[in-house]
Amino acid sequence: MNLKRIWIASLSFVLILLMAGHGMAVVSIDTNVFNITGTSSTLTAGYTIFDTNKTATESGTIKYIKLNTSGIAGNFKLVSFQDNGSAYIFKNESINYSLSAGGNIQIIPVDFYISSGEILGIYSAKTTLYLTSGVISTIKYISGYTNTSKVYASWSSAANGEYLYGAWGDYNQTLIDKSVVAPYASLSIGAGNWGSSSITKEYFIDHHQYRIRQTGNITNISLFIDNKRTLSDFRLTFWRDNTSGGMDRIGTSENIANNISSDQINYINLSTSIPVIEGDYYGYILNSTSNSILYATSNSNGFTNYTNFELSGANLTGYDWRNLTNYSASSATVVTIQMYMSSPYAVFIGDSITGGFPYHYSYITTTNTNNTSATIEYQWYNLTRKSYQNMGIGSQTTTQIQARYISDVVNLTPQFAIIEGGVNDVSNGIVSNETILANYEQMITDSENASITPVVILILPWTNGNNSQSQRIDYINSQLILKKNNHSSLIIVDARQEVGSFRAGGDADNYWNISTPYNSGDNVHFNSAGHLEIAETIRLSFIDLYGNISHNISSDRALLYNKSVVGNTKLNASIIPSSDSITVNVTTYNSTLINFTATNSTSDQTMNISLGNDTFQVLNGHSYYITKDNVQQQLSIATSNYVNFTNISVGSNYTVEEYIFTSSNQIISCPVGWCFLAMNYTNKTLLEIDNNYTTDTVQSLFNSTSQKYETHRIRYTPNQNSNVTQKQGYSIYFITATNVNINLTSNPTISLKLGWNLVGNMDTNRSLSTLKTSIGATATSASHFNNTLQSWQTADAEIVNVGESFMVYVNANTDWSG
Amino acid sequence: MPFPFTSYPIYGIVPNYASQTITAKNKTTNETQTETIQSNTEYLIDCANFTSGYSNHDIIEITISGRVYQISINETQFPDGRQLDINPPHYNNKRISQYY
Repeated sequence: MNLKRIWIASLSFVLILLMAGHGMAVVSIDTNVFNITGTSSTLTAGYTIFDTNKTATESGTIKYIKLNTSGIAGNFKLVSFQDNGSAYIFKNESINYSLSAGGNIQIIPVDFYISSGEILGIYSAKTTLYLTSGVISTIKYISGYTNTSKVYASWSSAANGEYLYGAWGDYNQTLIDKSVVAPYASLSIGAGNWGSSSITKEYFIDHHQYRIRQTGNITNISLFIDNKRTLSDFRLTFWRDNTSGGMDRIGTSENIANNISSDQINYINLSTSIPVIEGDYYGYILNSTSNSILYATSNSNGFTNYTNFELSGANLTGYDWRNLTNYSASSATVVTIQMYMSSPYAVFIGDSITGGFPYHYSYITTTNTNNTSATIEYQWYNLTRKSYQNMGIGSQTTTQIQARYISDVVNLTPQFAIIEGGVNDVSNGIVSNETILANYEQMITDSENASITPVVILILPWTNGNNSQSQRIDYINSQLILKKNNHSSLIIVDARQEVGSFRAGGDADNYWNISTPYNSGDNVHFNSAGHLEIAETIRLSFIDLYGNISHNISSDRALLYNKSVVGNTKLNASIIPSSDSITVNVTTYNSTLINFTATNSTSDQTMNISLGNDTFQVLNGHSYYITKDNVQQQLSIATSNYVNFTNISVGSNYTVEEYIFTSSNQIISCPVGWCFLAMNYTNKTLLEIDNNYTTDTVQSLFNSTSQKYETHRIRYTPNQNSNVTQKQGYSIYFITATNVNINLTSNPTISLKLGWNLVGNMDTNRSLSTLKTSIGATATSASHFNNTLQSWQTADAEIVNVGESFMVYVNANTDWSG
Repeated sequence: MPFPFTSYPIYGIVPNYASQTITAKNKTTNETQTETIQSNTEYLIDCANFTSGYSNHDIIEITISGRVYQISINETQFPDGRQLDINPPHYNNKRISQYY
């Protein structure tokens, strides 16, 4: 059903409920929610009307309600109930919405979430609310929201009735997965007071909040037309500040006059999308023989400038809309025309730091200060080439940010929500830690409920904060990190080390001050270089998380993301195979599908992960670990865009993470006797090894190709030129206990040959069992020469310290990068 | 798979036999291995390279140019291997044994 059909139905006094889900999706269409017929009736103030037989078929948000009021101005609320069989249980209520006096139909923007199965009601706080008449037995009203009074409606005629037509969402099938990108205002809905009269006029809206806030292609618009009358030309225009004192008209839509209907919100698909960038302006060209087509609202923060003619030239450049001599008139009113494009990849929400202060104010604020290139968001975009919207508002606390989270983030349906804030909360000293954390919790939960991955930037360094305030921030940040325990999708971005510096006199290892190179000068905000550091940290957090893989969380939540925020942060993609065969699709940064697949009905299954290719993704040759129930399993190298893991079991929690090497410097205490070590250099001959010490007599490597030791003895030449390559193992016989320094700077892939291989453990102390599983199924046996015990150990639990080497038998040639 | 072992080199010089093949046999297992004597007449055989490795007190028989020598593995007194310099002309077909 399209909107036009709904409209026709509503005119026939059939009440329609149409609710929008997150964004613009349709969640319910029910033409018989309230079937009110006959003459007007009265609803006494303080009562609620609802239809017990009609329930919401899906969960969603009601965006508009349409009323015909000819009576008294006042307020109303939307309410919802749940019928538990014996009573109507109050569930939710909206804020107060205003009804104007007068005889016109009013379309009133609302924002009211109702769950599937609930009943919608309307509560009147007016002295009297008139509704269309008709005695409908199923319509009931109760006093307030209590469930103690179930009174059937007694309808009576009223001359000046208010006709309740319906409630609906921003429904338009074409707007699914699209988001509003401008302006930051509700549609202008009301009696027509704006338009041209027999001549063509060109309009330009000069208002910070009305500028485009996402780079991309405008594909759809919506606008309210009161009375189309003789509208013959209506074209949308887009303008760009050319930074030389003028504006360039960079796009004009087709004439959409024929697509517009009177007295309703029109959703229009542009036949040709119009490319815009963040900060562009919009205007329109209008021609009608009659005035009062549109409804313009007064707005002291912006002007509409217009000419009494159409500016010439399809690609007009350098037009100075702000020069009074260049336009015919200017009015502190605006017509809100909402612009849509594909949903942004990420929405950044927060305070002035997110907004871009001191360089920039986001286009949801009214301060006309622009330098998008200096913002965190733009620099993140430069690094990732992913779309975004900047929803930062200066001075806001997390309570204020949370209050607008649904409308400013969730309704934009991004894949990621980057949440920043907290300094203002701590600064004003009133908000409790519990409140701040509860605000974050709500935003994280709202994100997860909408399949948006929440990304929380830990509260950033703040030089002006005193030690007590900074300690408080440290505590809040520590609690935010702990939220990982309950929110597996949560990404934590910790940029404190990147843009912070130690404050003398503060706690140990603090990063309480803004680093001087990144301080904007006010000790609160960051300069452009600081914004870049934060942007890069965000980007790296994503890379660490997925090995450059982004996500689509499946509806059954089978695919989750996890991040260890302790130590060397690595972020994971994980999967819980819930059946013998499961495939979960994951999109990469360039939308390439990644399939996590566990197949077959036996316990031996294979998980294939195919990887996409672009600069932000995992590259072939990179290594990935898979862990099962938090125990590290195999490690596999991406080749031909695939990583292959075997022995996948149904019902176990698997995590895939990119293997990231951690450099370390190890001191191995070698006793008298043999000492098995890992080669940390690219190449070193046995003689060169020998020459490092005065306490050794024999050096030996194991050639895995010949399956022979190559052994050198001091003062003899055999095998003195045998090379030990990086990550190979080797052994030295010491006649005096000797400390050996192993400086591990990298962990390359090593080719294991069929048979025995002496290889180094380059990264973390690991058991033989872990090392074998890391190598994969080809590793059938392993043995470690315990330098302390001076004997070979084969137990699975035997620990091979980083910097030591071990023998492993593989039954096929295998590459190992673990 | 009994492997692995630590190295146990038997090494020394064999004057006048550069580039000749030297053969080592573990008399316990009858497994053999060969090496080539270097141009400077030095050689080194690692007993860990016997297929079944070695055990303490195994007898290793060294053969070069038809002459046979024996040496035992003694990890207690010589944990880092044993030196066996061979001078065939001097011993001239005489069987040399060095047991400990």
